[in-house]
Amino acid sequence: MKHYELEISQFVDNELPEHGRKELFVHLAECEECGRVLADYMEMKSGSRSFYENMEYEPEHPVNLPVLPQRTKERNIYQAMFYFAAAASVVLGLMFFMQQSSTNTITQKYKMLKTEYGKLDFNYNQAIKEVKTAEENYAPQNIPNDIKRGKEKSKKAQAAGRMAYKNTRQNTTDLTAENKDYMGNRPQLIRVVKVTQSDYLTPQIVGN
Amino acid sequence: MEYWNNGMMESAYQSITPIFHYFKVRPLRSVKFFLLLILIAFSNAYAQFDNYHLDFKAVVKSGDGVQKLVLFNRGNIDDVIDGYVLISRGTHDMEGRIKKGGFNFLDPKIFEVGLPSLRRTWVKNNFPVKNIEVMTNGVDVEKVYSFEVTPEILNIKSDSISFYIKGVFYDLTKQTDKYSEYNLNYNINLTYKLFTVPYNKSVRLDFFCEQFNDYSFSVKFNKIDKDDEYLSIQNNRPLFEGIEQSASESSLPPNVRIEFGTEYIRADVNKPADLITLLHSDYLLTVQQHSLVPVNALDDRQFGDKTDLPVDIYYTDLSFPFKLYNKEKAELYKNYKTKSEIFKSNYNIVIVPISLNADTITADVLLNYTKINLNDNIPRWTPIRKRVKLIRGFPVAINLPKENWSASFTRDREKYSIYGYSDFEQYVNEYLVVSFDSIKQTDGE
Amino acid sequence: MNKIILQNKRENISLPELYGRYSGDIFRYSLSILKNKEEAEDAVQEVFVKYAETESTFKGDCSYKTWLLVIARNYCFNRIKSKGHKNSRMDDAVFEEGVNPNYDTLISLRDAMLALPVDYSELIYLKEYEGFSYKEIAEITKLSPENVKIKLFRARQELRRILKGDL
Repeated sequence: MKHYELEISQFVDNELPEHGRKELFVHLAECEECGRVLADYMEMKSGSRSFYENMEYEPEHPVNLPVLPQRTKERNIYQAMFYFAAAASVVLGLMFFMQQSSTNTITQKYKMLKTEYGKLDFNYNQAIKEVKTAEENYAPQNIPNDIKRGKEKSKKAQAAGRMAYKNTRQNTTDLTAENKDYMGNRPQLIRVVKVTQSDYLTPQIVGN
Repeated sequence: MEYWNNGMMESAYQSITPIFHYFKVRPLRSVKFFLLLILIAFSNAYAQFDNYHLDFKAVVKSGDGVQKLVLFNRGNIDDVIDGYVLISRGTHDMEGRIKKGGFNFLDPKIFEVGLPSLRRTWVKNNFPVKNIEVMTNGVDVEKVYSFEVTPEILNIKSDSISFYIKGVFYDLTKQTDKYSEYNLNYNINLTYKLFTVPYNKSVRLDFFCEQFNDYSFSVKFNKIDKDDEYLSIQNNRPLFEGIEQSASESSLPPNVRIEFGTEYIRADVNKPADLITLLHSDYLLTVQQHSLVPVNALDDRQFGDKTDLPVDIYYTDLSFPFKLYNKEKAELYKNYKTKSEIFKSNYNIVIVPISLNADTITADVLLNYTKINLNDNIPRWTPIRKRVKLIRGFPVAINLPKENWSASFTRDREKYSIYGYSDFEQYVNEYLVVSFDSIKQTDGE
Repeated sequence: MNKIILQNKRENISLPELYGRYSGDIFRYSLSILKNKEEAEDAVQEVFVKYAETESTFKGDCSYKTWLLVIARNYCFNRIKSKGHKNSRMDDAVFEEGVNPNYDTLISLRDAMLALPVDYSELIYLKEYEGFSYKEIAEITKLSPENVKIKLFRARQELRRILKGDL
């Protein structure tokens, strides 16, 4: 016999549509088990409500409310002006460049764009200043040969980097066990369907 | 390896240098004329470009051989392609999409939290740094690579394509003491690179390994003549007719483009396949692709004509290694040299959307597959057509049947005798997961 | 920080007024996730700090309460992860290591509520205490309404199972 636990849960939430309710009541008349479920859910409902009602918010230390910051309209305008000026300089620079050069290869264009890109992303540089770069601590263990590297770090520095990297990896592994218990915030309910005889495009190939 | 070829591009540019010589003589007067000439040149070039689509494929593989992610985009020649790939914390689950704006910490689709009023489109990788982590559940993510690929094609007839790839690496595993306890901090690295690669060749981009150790990132470009955009189905009349039949039943309105995603999962039959959370890294093997290739015509060389379809269908081929899980059998063939060529599975997936209703799509999923690569024209695996109802956010997993197949053959004097069920099927559960991300109205082409 | 009262330009709800109205609910919601009174009290402070810092980006397309709840949610989940809570399920002595719970005695509702996994207990709070609809809960948690329905059902199943001592 089909049980109606999900429908009971919806009913208790006041989210079961009309036709579902009728069907549920008919079933409840015959099914003791579902009757118990309903009673339990109702009791849990009132119990959880009182649980939270009894939780008074009475902080021990006084709470200091923060100051609401001023809207910085002028800053936005300056930012917009900067971006406009930067963009305009890129366009003008491009036009000037195209006029000047007779062998305008892609590489030269790339170099010029890269410089302009570097000027535009002052935000990124600012961000990087605020963030501790992990290069010393995060050296990869297997470095492919065909990556062009900057100056070669001393062997000691490399080894230190690898050790530090190893340690962070260990920290990450430690979290794995807990994370598997935690359901995460991207659960997807997957419906599994099976293939039946009628789904075959040809008669089923059985053995060879 | 990264491929760099300057010569071809230079020769392309040299064909228009006479214009520049002119301007060397009269640099100031001629700006308007110059612009006009450029316009003419480009309009001619773009007229040619209009006949083509550019296919872009990014393939990310995990070092342990368990996860493979394919990101696919078909668009215009000059389209900028944004996307991202991320590794989740702890489980090291891989996810990715081709998505405008790339990765956005504030996108509720990624993290399922975040208020509409706090959403900011990540334009040109202009990301906010401070306080972002409190507005999202970013802690689920260990590393992200968000990229923006800009193709640079001057001469459509060239054999190779140049592209800029601008990217941001976020590494969320690092915490610093600079911030208060609950502010996670992340290591941010920007990269900006230019490559020139031949068409239709998979090229591994090694700078990716510096940030994502043990993962590989390859790209492949292909230019497709719009007249050649059809699906060719050879020697498989049942599949051809199956697709035709499904397409004829479709009631989809015109000019609707659907972003389908598909995933092949091979799970250990003894371990419960926890499809509730779809943690890819839990399985023996997963291969996922977002999104599939849209076409609206079929071709069956055997019978000649190209058949136009009344609706766009979506297809892909998923290919991945086959493995014998019967230990004794695997031991027998351990040192065979022909093994790598033969033990390749190929799953052809075609999705025909049948009907559309708000957030629900009914679609026919057609699957034709070979578990090992033999080319001996002996049918071993029955093609399937399954009608499924897809709700956004609720993927459907088709539990593939265990088939009783066998193959006895000799290749280059190496003798094989494989019994599908006892050597493979009984050890695994196989699923084909189908989902969709979005439904869009296109302008019709 | 100075204690200064500033008018909120948008809808004339001052920060102290917001605090007065919603601090209790924010506290209880944080408690449903963090399972610890002290931490939940800290959460309230931090949520209003965050509100103040990002107030200019609020476009008023949802209620103040919803916005505050989402800030609280993000803060609390971040807190769980960054502190590496050994067990996000429990807080009190009920299931401490080394203690053998007595399966014969009925577990109290309070203990069961604390034992519920975090994403179940937050849904129970939002539904049973706040009385939000599935749609409203979906807006806060960014799950789909269908997902909320299923998860609430599972939450009740789990709660019932714990209450029956069926571990």
